[in-house]
Amino acid sequence: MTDPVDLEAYLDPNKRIQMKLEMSLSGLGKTGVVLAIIDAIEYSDANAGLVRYFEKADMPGVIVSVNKPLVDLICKLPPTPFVQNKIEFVDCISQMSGAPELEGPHYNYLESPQQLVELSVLLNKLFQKIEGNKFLVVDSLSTLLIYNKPEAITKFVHSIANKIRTEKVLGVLLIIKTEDNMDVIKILSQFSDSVIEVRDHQASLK
Amino acid sequence: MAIPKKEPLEEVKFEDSSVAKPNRTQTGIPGLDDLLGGGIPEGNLVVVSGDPGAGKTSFCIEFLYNGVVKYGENGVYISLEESEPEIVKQAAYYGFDFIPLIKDRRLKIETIQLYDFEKLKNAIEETVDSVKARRIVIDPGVVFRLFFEKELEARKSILDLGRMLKRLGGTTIITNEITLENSHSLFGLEEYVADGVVLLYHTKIENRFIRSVGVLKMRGTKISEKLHPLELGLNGLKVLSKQELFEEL
Repeated sequence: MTDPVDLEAYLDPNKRIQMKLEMSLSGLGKTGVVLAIIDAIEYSDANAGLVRYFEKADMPGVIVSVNKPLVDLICKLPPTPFVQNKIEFVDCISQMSGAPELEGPHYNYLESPQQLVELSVLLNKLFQKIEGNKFLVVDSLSTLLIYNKPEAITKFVHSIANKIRTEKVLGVLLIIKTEDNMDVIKILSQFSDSVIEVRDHQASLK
Repeated sequence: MAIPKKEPLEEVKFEDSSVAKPNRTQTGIPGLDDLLGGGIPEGNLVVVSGDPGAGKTSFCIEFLYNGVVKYGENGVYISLEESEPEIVKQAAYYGFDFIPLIKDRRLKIETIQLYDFEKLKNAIEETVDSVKARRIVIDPGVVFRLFFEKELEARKSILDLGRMLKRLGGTTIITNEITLENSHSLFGLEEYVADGVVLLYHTKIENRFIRSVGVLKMRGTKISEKLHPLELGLNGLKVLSKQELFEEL
């Protein structure tokens, strides 16, 4: 943290969170379910940091975007060969919101965040498409909870947790911590191999 | 009145493989045969009950088409409502071309709009015999209600129909309407005659519809007790037999 190269990143709240995520993940194995609980007022995007982490590890994977349409998410990611060829994107929001849909061999669309069965089937298909160890990022369970009942989400997570373990996946499930979803977080923690809390210390001092 | 002579019961041996493990009529519908232990036991009469738009007619179309094309079993579609061209068109929409099967006399579609139940039974028997059908579909079964004014008469006749169909030896599907709110039994057919009941749900949950399938009963089969997601796409029905539903219906 005293490295002058990191100082600018440390002062930027979003980059700070990304660095903390990277640090937390680096201590984990290559497979398993990680529940990443994020407690940050200004935090809006973990994907760039996570992509950077997995790119360094040269681990291909899947990003499920419920928060942002793919057209916005792709803009925020560096246009590297890793992003263009080694990540399968699943967009759960564009068709529902009317956002433009990008065309490409690695872009997959669902009609809405309520299609949990379809999402589960698609993840299974994508896990089998990608060989070797792979990652999964779900951004975010909090947004899925807006469109689905907590019971459905906990069943969904339990179901994909088993797939994550059998298909050599490191699954990072992002969830924003709020007063309303503490019970859900407790249940989801039971299904997870690791729980990491990423706190924006500077933000909490405000 | 003379008491009819009873024929001696055929000796059934427990170790007879056809008793312990019946031959199965595969539906060929992706995922469905997994729920049925490999298929419907041959000769069973199965009621397929479903909500409007749940996929009952698609089920029938695929069952017959796959029967001819995949398993070499001729079939008949007894339609109590739609005409042959309408059924052929609906099958074509899902990619199932009935026309060559009809030309080769492997499949016959018969539209029967008589309101005489005895004539209906005779027509069914003749049609089945004309192509030596091993698969029979009667759709939609709710039209049976138009044949009867009295419930008791209806029940007796439906039970009689059921016995006739089983005597014909083919594997039979009869469709019925059902919703989660109202269950309209086909005059006791499901309870007393049918060997199997398959339920197709098309349920509204908040702002969307969800399709699912369940097997309520199937004689000679260890069935799944769960509802499973069901897809109805341009290629017909697909049961996600290894997938569970996440929402409560």
